[in-house]
Order: sequence, then C-alpha cells, then structure tokens
Amino acid sequence: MTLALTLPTPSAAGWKGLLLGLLLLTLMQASPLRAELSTEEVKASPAVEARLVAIADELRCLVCQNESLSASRADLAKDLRREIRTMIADGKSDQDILDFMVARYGDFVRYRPPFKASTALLWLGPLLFLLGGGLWLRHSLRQRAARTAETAVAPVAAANESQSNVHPAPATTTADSQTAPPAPVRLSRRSAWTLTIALPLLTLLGYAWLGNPLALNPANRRPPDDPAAMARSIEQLAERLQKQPDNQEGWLMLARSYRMLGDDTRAADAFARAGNKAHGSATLLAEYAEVLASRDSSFAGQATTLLSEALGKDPEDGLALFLAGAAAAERGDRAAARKLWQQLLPRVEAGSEAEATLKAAIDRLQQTSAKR
Amino acid sequence: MKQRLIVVALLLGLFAMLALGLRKDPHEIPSPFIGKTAPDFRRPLLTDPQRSFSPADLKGQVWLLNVWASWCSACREEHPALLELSRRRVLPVVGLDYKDETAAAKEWLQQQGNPYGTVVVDPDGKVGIDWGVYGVPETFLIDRQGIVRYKHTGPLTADVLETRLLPLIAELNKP
Repeated sequence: MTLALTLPTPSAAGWKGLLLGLLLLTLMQASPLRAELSTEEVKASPAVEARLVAIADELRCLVCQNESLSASRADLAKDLRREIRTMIADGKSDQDILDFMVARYGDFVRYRPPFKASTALLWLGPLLFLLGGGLWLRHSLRQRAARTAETAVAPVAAANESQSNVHPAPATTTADSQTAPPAPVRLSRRSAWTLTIALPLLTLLGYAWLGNPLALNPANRRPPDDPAAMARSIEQLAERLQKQPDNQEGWLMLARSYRMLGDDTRAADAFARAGNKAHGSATLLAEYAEVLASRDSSFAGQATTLLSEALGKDPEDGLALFLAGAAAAERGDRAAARKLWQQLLPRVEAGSEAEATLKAAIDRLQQTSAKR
Repeated sequence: MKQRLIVVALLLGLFAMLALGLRKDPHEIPSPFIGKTAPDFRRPLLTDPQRSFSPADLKGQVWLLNVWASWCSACREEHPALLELSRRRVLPVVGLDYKDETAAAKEWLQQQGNPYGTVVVDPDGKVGIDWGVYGVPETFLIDRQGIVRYKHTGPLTADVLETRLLPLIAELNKP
C-alpha cells in the first residue's frame, strides 16, 4: 500500500492527501465491497482467472475455514491462488490441481469431500437420521392407534384383547359392534401423511419466498471480483431505489457505496435521501460530511454542521475528529485544529506511519501559528 | 414411559456430542503426511546462503522440522519448549524460516536464542505449501526412513514435549 504523504497546509487543498494516508492505515474498516481478487497479483488472462475461480470455489481456505479459497484474503490463500495460476499456465487439469491440494491439506480442503469409508457417515448421516425419524414416527403412531383402539374396546373386550393389542385391526372390528368410532386410528395416520407431504412442501415454499435460489450456485456467492461488476451492482441498487424513495436504509447503503467508489456528487445526493438514517451514528455523519467537503472542496456550510453533530454523538470518533480538525484548519482556526488532531493521536497506532504523518501535521500547524 | 426415556437419552447423547465438538480445536486439521514420505526440497541456509539443506541430508536419522517466522507471535510462545528440546540433544532440530526477512529472522534468533542446528529459508512459502503448512508454527517429526511420523500444529508446549514428542522420539531412536 502506498501512502499519500502530502502534509497539509492549513488550507482546504491539503487535507485530502493526509486523509488518504491516515484513513487507509487506521480508521477505515475493511470494506465489504472490496473484493480480494481484483486487488491481487497481476492478473492472468480472463480464461485463466475464470478457471481459477471455478477451482478455488470448491476449495476451503485453511486459515479462515468458513471461506472459500477464492474469497479469502489470507496470505496463504493468495499463495495458493498463485500456485493454482501457475499450474493452470502449465497446462495441468482440474483434477491434477485438486490432487495437489488434497495431497497437502487432506480432504478437509475440499468443500465436497469424496465418498469413502471415513466420510460415509458425513454423507449418509442426514439420510440415516431421516430414516430413523421416519421409523420412530411410524412405530409411535401405530402404538398410539393401538392404545386408542384398546381404550375404546376396554369395557367389553378387556379380557380377550389384552395380549393382541399391537395390531389395531382386530380391536377395531370388536369396537364396531360397540359402535365406537375407529376415527382416531385413521385420523392419526392421515395426519402423519399430511405432515410428511406438507412439511417439505412448506419448507420449499418458504425457501422460494424468503431464500435466494441463485445462491445455491457457488459462483454467485462470491463477491463481485471486478470493479465493473461492482459498479453494475451499485447501479442496479440505484435503479431499484428510484422506485423506493422512502427506503432510507437502501439509500444509505447506496451512499456509502458511492463514497467507496469516490463518486462524491452521487454519494452526497444519496446521503441526503437517506434522511434520518444518515444521522444514525457519528461515523455516518462524518462520512456524509466528508463527501460534501470533497465535492465542494470546502467544509464551509453543511459539512461543518454535520461534523459538530457527529462529535456531539461521539466525541471520540476518529473520522469525525480528523475531518473536524481539517475543517478548523481550513477556517484558519489553527488552535482548534491542533486540539482536535491531538485528541486523535492516541487513537492512531503508536509508531505507525500514520502517527508520524499526523504528528508532522500538528507540528506544522504549530509552526505556522507561531510565525504570526 | 420407555419411549420418553429413549428420547431423553438420544437428546443427551446429541448434547454430549455437541459439547465434545465445542472443545475440539477446529484448526487441528489431520495432516495427510503422517505415515508418508516427507516432501523433498533444497533451500539455502539462513546463516550462509551459499550452503543449502535438503531432507535427504538427514536420511538415516530421526529429526524435527519446525516451521517458524520472526513475525509469528505464537512462535515466541513455543520458543522455550524448543530451546528445552535442543538442550536435550536427542535429535537434530531444523528450522524452516517461513516467508520471512533474513535480517529480522537473524535478529530474532539472536534475541531469543537459537534452538536450531540448521535454519533453512523459504521466502516465498513454496516449501511450506509442499509440506501442507497452513499456520506457523508447525512441527514435524521425521523418522530414519524419511517418513513423517507426527505433526503438531500451533505452539509446542512443555506438556506436548513431555507427553507426546519426547516419548515418540525415544521410541523412534531405538536401535
């Protein structure tokens, strides 16, 4: 990661350079929108990348075990992707590559382990559970049927029926003569069938309604791996939101996405449409202020108001502190700028480049104010 | 009544299995190398890049390969155990300096003490991949025939040393 180490003059122009350096290092959380594959090693041809993704989707990242090798940012995952690229370039088949991985990391590395003695229980387990459950259900239904029949018969045939109560049929015939209805037997059997059919059906319906069948394909689960695809998905969100002007949550998401892409004008617009939601936290307010200031090349006006609102919510918020300091510097209020940035200092990692940059900026403020 | 007991027993069994599962470390992945020939490589030494080391050099001896790096904090944790092992002189201990800077690695050994007879460097991590390394530190025990007999993932402790490693070394070292 290269740093923009522009030292800020106490004017509007300088703060963005420092912001970049500082933010990248300390304040910014990893953006979920930034896909790993796009920022990685020099890309091979699209065909190789497509094969890499197809293979790596089937493989588990050994470090963050619930992530596939194609989505993981771990160093080892990067190295393994590099290995796979080399093997593809060398003309190895998918099976060769899979064998290479399994030889080193075992079946664990595969999301779909092969069927063999040691994995049989894994594959057949669910089926066994279903079978066992079904048998148990049948057994208990039969028993209950027998018991209801027996109680119906009890007054008359208690003596001669006592040992053959396993099967309901004879009991029912005797019960008929007593005009006791055999209904309970049939009802429980019918409800068993209804349950057997209705339950999976309801599950499927529920999934179709709430779930996303597209997600069953692993290729669709990966984050978009090139900026163009990311921009497209953001455009889709924007289009959808045109029809839902009241969806503040959606607008907020769109605003933050535009901010990530560096589209300040659209980000500012979307933040405005997010209404109350954009005022939800100090960080959000600071982000809103940042895009406004970036768009107008000045903190004057709404950006400054938003920043004081942000610091009112959380006087310790890193981004808000930093931007408020920059805003104060822009106004020429060096004392305030220094104070705000000094508050930020303990939040920056000690000994880091960001700390040095920030200290240099504070020193500079001190010098220029001393000259006056 | 009997049925209810069965259900309760099944549930208890399920809970017991889940509870046991929670206590297991999911990062312990069974190594496919146990019982197989150790992967070959030839890499330069940390102290003298002109010279190199290969597992073949130690054929006929029981030896230990410890994968470490100066940037790895868990390696600091296991260092006392490694120093202890090297003090006992029961077998050659080889260090594989995984994806590290030469200068940092040398400094680290100077500060912490050097338990290794030989340190090999693996700057691009390729040897690590061939040995199925997924998180340093990792330790492999190799027998006279060059077969991997034991692997420990994560920091070695005095306990692992006393209860697992040393008895196994003694057994493998028997004539």
